[in-house]
Amino acid sequence: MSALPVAEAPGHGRALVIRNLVKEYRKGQPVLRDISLSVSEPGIVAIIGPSGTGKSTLIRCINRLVDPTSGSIMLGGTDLAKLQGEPLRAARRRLGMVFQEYNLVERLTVIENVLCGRLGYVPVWRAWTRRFPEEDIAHAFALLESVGLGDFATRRADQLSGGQRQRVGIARAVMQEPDLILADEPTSSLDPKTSVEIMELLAKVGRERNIPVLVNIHNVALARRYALRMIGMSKGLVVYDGPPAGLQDSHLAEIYGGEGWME
Amino acid sequence: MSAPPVSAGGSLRARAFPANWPLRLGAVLFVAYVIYAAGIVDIRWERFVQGLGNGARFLGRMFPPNLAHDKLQLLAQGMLESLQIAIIATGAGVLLALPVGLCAARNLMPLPVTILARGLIALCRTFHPVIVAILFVKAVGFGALAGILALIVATIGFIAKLIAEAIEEMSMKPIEALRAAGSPFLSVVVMGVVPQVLPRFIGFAAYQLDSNLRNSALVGLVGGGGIGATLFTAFQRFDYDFVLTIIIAIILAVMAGEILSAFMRRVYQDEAPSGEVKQGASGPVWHRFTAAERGMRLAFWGVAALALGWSVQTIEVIPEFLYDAPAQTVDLFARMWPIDWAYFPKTVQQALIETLHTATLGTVLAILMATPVALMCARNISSSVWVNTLGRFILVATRSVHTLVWALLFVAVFGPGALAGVMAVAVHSIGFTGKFLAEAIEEAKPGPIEALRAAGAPWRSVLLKGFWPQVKPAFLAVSLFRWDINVRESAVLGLVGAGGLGVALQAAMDNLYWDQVGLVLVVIFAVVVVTEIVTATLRAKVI
Repeated sequence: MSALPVAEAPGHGRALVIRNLVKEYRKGQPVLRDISLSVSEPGIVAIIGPSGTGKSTLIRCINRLVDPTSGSIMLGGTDLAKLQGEPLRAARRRLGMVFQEYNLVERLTVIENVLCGRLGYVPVWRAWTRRFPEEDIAHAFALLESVGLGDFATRRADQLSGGQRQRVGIARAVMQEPDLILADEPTSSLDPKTSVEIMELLAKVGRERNIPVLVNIHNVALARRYALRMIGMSKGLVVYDGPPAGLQDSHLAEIYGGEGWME
Repeated sequence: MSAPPVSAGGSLRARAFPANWPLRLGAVLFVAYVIYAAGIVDIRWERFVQGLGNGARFLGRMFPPNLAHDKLQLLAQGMLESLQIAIIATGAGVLLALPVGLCAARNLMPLPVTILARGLIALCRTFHPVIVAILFVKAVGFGALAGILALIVATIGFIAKLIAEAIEEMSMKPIEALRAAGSPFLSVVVMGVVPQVLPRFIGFAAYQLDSNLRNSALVGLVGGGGIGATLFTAFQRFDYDFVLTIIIAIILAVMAGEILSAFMRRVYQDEAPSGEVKQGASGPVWHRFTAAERGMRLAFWGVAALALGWSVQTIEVIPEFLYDAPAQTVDLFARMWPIDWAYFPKTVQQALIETLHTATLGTVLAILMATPVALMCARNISSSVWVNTLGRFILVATRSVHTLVWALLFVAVFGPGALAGVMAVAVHSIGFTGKFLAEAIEEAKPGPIEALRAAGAPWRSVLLKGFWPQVKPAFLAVSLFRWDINVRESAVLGLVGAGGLGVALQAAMDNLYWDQVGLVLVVIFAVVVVTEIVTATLRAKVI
């Protein structure tokens, strides 16, 4: 794999600062109870925790696929929690997202899926006629090359394997030239070997583009291996926030409850 | 093997085949109703036999079909106009249906917008195209324009509903991803929604073209132009040999339409375009389509545009009528108000009951006749190609000729009244009911069938215990769905003298009592709504 194309001017306000974030789907039953954290360092930040503890909700609150109940989510001076309409769309362009089930448009080709990452930038007629700007198309080819799918540009997305689809998903997110990548269980639908490859790729993206990659992940070992920082969540709260080395069995017992599962 | 367990008194032991008394009672009541209704609409053996005699004479007058030069010219003129009506109505209707269907999709649009759009769709679907055509004939005058407008309304109702359903059934995952990338709404639609629903949409549009071709023969009966007008004139002049020519022509045209739409579906539906990548001077160059794909698309759109252009160019529309239309429409509805409720107990109530009887009896008769035909068509039952083909021909032929046209024929055979209506409903429904039954039979899993055959069961037992349990849900669903359609159709059969609400409608229109017309329309509306609720409830219960 060749090097990823690097963003021209990195370094402008990429700090993500979340304060007192609360999300209740049903009144009185908070899924997220007062989350505060900030992320500014490049590389993988892994969020671990049991199912149903609000990891996905947290990620989705950041790009507002889920509307937070209260609290603020600051990114480079704007509060994402308060945005609506056009400003929200503009802010979302700066947040790339990678999904558990890839969320590709199955009947479109790989290159079209990657170009979907530009939809926030190009007018609708360009999307309709597929007349994307030259530099976008060149960039899309370079990205496909860098994720190892150079020969797959005109394949339909539904003809790819899971790992290949996730690579397209990552290329689509990078295509946005994001300041931050959010990955919601990017490896949960993949086999162990492919999971490692995908984490490797996400780490590379973070390193080369110099941006944080916030990853929800179930596999603690995999998280430890690639994350520079780990956030442990339990019952809607952050119970650990620090380097992987500092994560003890006692923390894991607190996060997941019980100890029997730790072999 | 041990003996089956017996509880203390023996009475609690579960029986393998418990009697379902409510079901048996229901069946007995239903049979009793059918006999009673048959008595009401005057289905008697003597009338039937007498009708057969008439029918023989009638058929004698139809054969041989009239192929005289002047008649063929009339035929060509009518068919051409029908084709143009169908093309314009499909083109315009589909274009208008797209935004309406999008607005009706509850997974993309806010609730108030979907309610408005769904209301519009329901309105377009409630009234039979013939009734809509009658209203348009009053508003814009006789001729093709009224027919086109009526079929546009029908197309919007049908296509928009299916588009909304297709959008609601698509995967929301890619939509979420595009939203997360900051795409504006329309970009989400063109890149996320369109690729997912396009194959089904092409299928609907192709089906609608063929359905409009069939229906354009229909709107002509009430003054909406096209081959229907030619047919109606031939009937009024007792030119029965020409009637046969026209009916054969309609069947052939509808068959050609079905082949064409099947072809269109195959070309456009399955494989999404893939495009190609070529190496350019400054790196790879992406082409969305290969040269061959581009050629196919150009050819397709070229033909579509030419057909539409030709139709719009040559069809006869009188512009003065068009300018006048809004005023005429307002005037029409003003004359309907206030509605003459007193007309209800006098005539309409009786007609309403007759309509319901007609629909039910016609559906029952259709199922009786369609079942053997479906067995003939199902390839996993009849292995003979000849039997299959004959069955399929019967299905297409009965379906191609619209209920109202069948009603014209049966009125000539049995005389005016509900009997002709029942026969028309029954014969036309064979095609629809038989087609879906045959498909359900062909989809039956071969495993249980093989097991029964292996156990040495005779074919009757194989049908009853192997196929029937598998086909039953589809059978009930199709019967209910057809009954729902037949209620709508029965309501207009009276326009050609085959009994029911249409007779009251025709009488009121002939007398220019528009307040009574208003009443009949309100009653039809109510019946259609109630029927839909009843079938929806039954469907949820039975299936």
